[in-house]
Amino acid sequence: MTMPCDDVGPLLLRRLEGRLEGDDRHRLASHLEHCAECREELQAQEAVAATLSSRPLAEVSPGFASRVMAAVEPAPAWLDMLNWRAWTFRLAPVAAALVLVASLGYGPTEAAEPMEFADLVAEWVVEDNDETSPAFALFWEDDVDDETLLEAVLTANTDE
Amino acid sequence: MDLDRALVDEAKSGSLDAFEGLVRRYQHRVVNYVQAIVRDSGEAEDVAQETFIRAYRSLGRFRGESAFKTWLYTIATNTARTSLERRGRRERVADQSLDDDARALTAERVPSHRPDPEATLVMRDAIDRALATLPHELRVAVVLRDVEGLDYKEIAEVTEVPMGTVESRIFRARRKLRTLLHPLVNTPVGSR
Repeated sequence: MTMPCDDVGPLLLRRLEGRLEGDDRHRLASHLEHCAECREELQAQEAVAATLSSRPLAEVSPGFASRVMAAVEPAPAWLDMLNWRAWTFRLAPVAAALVLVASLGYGPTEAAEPMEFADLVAEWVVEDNDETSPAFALFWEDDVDDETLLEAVLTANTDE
Repeated sequence: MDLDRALVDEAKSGSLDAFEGLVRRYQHRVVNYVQAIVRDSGEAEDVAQETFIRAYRSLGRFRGESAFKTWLYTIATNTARTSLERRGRRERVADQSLDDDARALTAERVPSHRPDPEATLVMRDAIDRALATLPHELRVAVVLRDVEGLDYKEIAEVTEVPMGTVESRIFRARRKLRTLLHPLVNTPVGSR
């Protein structure tokens, strides 16, 4: 009893590939001996495979590999400068911070009392007369040379 | 260690030169394969480029369980499929007649030892038109086997189906192509 034609397909393929062995080889040979359609199918499968194998190779355009590499390589940083969207997004936190600072500083503040110029001078004089630092008092003395004044300032004890 | 593996390892470590080496090794294979699938040469280069970009971005996930070649074919297959679905090209191509190209090729057949650019173009286009009429799964299987020369095990890896399914697809694809490629094949067309 020979095998049905529907089961022959895989064996035809393996025969074309040279992978048909043992019992399968005998079963197929026996089937083909009595089946003209499967013999024709074997011939057609081989012919189509040969035609496809002879398909001329497609050409690759010059610079293809370079274009691929340009697409995968990271873009130079200066190109980011041209991207206004990136700028917009990157500057958004800065803008938000500025708005926050401005809004905090815009609140009601205690208005300083207006001060007369004479009062301001009097305040300076009082501070000067306070003379908490002897070193700085030397500024007002006429007979102090520059070196002495510099030494006094550099060696002054600021905690006094 | 083979060259592919060495280049892949270097590329995974960040070497763009190594990845470019892989692109140059496989650009002809990928473009040729994709063109046989999508048929249009311009679209083929776009798909091939997208294939390499996807490969580059996925390189960290490539564990080397399969060969780089089959992994790349898998990406190319998926990318080509996405492109075809997006453009709905197959249906339009299927409506076009193969007769004109086939007749032209038969009438102007040139000996294979004398390459003629025009005949080469006509023959490739006639074959690609015939391939374009096949369902995607059959086309991928038969192109990987007969055009690209992958073995059945490799095709099973690329398409992620069992070997038996690969055999069935290739058998059915060739049977369908038998009629369409008849002017090129020169074999009797049976009743099956």
